[in-house]
Amino acid sequence: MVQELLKGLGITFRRMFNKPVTLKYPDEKMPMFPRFRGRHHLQRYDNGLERCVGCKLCAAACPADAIYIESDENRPGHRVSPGERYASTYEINMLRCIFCGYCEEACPEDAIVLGKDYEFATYNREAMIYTKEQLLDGPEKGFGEPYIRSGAKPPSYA
Amino acid sequence: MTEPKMVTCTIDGRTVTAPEGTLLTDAAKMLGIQIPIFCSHHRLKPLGACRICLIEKEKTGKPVIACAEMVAEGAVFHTQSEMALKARKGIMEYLLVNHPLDCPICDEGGECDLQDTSYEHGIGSSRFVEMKRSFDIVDLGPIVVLDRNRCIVCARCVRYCNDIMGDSALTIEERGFHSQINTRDGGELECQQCGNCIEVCPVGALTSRPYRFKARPWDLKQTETVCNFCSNGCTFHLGRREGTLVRARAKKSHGVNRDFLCARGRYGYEFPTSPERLHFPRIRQGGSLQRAEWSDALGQAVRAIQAARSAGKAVTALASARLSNEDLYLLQRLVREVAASPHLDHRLEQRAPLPGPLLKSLAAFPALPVSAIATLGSALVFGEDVNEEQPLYGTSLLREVHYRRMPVVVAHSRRVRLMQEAASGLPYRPGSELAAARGLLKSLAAHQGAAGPAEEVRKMTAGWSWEALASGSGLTEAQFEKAAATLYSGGSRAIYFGSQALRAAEAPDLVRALIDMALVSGASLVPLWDRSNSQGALDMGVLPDLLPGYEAAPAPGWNTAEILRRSASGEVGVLILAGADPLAHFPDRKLAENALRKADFVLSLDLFETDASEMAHVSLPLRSYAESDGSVTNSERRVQALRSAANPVGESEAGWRIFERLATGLGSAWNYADLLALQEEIRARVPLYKVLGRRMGPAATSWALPGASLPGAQPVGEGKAPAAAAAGTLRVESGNSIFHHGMLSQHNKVQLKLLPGPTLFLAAEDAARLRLAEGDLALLEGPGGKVEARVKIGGPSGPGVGFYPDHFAGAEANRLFGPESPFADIKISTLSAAVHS
Repeated sequence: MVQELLKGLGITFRRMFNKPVTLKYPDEKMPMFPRFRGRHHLQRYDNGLERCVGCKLCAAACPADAIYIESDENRPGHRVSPGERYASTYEINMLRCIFCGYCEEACPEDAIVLGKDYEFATYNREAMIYTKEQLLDGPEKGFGEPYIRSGAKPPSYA
Repeated sequence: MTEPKMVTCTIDGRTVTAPEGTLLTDAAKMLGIQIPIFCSHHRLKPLGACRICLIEKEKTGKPVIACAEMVAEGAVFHTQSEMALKARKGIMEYLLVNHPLDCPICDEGGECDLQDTSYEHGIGSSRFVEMKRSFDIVDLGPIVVLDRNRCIVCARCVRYCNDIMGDSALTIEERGFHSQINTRDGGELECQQCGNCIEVCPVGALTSRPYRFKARPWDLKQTETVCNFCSNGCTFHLGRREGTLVRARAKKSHGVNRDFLCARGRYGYEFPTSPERLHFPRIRQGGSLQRAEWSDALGQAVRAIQAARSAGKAVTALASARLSNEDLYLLQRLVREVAASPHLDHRLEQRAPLPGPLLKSLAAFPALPVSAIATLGSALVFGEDVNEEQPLYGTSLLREVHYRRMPVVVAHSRRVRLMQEAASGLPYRPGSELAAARGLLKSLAAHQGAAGPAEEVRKMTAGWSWEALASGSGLTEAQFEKAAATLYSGGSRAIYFGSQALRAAEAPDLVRALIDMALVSGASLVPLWDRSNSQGALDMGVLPDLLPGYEAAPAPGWNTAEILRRSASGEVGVLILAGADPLAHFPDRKLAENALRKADFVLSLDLFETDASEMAHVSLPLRSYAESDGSVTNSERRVQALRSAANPVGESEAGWRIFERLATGLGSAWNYADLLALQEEIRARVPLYKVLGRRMGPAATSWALPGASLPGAQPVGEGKAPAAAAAGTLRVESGNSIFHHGMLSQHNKVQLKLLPGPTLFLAAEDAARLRLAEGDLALLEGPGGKVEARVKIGGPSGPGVGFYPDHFAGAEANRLFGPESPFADIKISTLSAAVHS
């Protein structure tokens, strides 16, 4: 019995000199795999126009019914996207989303891409419905071709 | 009629036998073989513009177009042969030369014929690298958006507009490669705004402005139900997204209308989900209506009915003919059995409601489906602007006039659209419907030599003098003779009559004359009632003198006018207004106001705040047709199912549930588990409604009155000739405009765009005489009072007769017209002239 005890403790002592496998989250964060699918980002063109045209194909493709979109028409003096149509409301319910990436696949405009964010914790469920303002990348993220298709280095979202 | 010759041919190795003249696309459909089509349409004549339907015909050595090729004896066709598929692929590539790849943002995307056909027959890539044609997207008015980039120039819209609607608002400009769709003058559409061009467009070139980008087809929860406006009973699919109804669409193979809808049907879906709807029961407290609980509101109503009965005062009910059969059946049971009162009616607009026996005589005529118009020999339309009030009948008749010159006689006081194209017109003077009917009857009887009713009618009419009839109606003997000859020139005949005849001061005599005409000429007689369930209200016995199923009531009650008169003199204890607003619809507004004020208790059930509901003691929120299950019966006596397409608004309740709760409150042991239980009772009590709840809908057959034989010849009384219009005035009539129906459509934004408010339509020569211009704001002074209205030239007005549509609260026709006649001489003065840029 003592022998077994010593054997077990031996492992414990040996491991005390190994590097820990855990991270001191949130001070330290794990590097994400290149094809990790995190929270969604709505992209813009170089000129700042939204890529999304509100076609709702992402919502149709979504197996979890997490996306809700209302569309409207671009009018002179109020141009949001190229072409006729834009999404006046774009909401993703992150509680429902299963991060399958079908929305990204379905999008004919490369408007929606799944990024690297995974920190969603909030104190209420309402905050888990991400609105278009939250999803839409601002100028600070850089406009231009969506990083995934263009082969450019993904901007750091961490 | 002779049986058509049958022809047998072979399609894809299978033989099919079809009547001679059948198009190959239809023959293939019989076998379940789908041939793609774009330009071909079941209501239109073949054109062969798009050529997507190419198939191989043996021994010709080249592909033929299936939409214009007719079946031929012994011919062999292949739809899937190498030649056919290659040809179709080639055509598909051509069609896509200019078609943009914008399906994701196109409203048609997901239900687009071109998309589907391209998926099936396209090659997936294009060899064309040249620039596509490019046009700006234009609005053709408040309804239609035209995107010529997507157009494949199949000309369906142009032909439908021209041949079926008779509007010719669209045309094809330029030639060959440069062909494009445009309006006649390049501006906005000048038409009935029916939106059928949107419906027939196989691509997304014509789309709907109100529905633009509202939803994708797969977002919509679509429910098949029946339109709630006129009595045609068109089937449509209401599309709901997130609790809001966003569109109505007819389905090609469904309903009496197939794919046709008029402007009000197509854009009348907004009022059920309007924010103005009544949400809660209200009880009068301290002079105003306050929100209350259902139990309190119903309790008050129950106590009021009990008080009326113990005081020996009458319990009366006026119902709207838009309610479902189930609502109407239980209302009459509540009034007749529980409140033991025979006083109920649903006819508010009619000055002289038809007596029960006459209604039963009408019901004895076999029903005639709308589809029968396609094979009718000739038709008479009496006192009804079919294209304006009953658009399905109107367009069906117009199509036959266009395509096979069907002899049609139109008798109306205004030169209505159908009269302009009909073989014979009887433009009688307003108010002289009876004189015109007597004249036509005299001519018809003189032509027909048969014994029986014709002999009796001939004897009766022999004494009528042509001079009196001619001077009374403003028509000549020759016109009557021509009309009679026109009606006799066809084989099978039908006589349609509608609101103008029914609202006339001499309606019973007029209907007797029409019955005689039908008997003499051997024609079918089809009354085109006002409201979506007017027929059901008659069948369900919401009448003072008929029980459900046309049984005579043992003790006839009071009709609408009598109920209101008695109420005004303080004899009525309870007045139930089941969706009915006598202030808006009863010809004598002052009497209606008095009646509502003097009644001890007024119970109003309605969708919206109306003048009448605001005078009630208790107001209950009713469910609209879009939130109700049930059934309605159209003019062809087809019992069709209503299905709830939207969630009920607030605490609103179905009419029959409210009546049930009232009855149980009054001590009855009514207990309907659900609608089916109620329908079962109706089936048992009303033998006419055997189909109810079982085989309802477009496929159901019309009911026939059991054991009924055609009525005998009816004696027709003599009418008063209307006086000539007073100098300086315009004789004006009222009715439904094509854009609105009743008072409900004023809650629909789209319809308000089409006809925004009180409007006076008048002919150009009358406008010139009265010095009025289009768009002027005019003050109309009539025997009933004054109303302000915009002037519009043309429309459903005739020379010498104006038209004032009755759709707007605050400017109802009964504020302008007197109670005596459905027309009035109106003094018109300009308040402010239109601003012309």
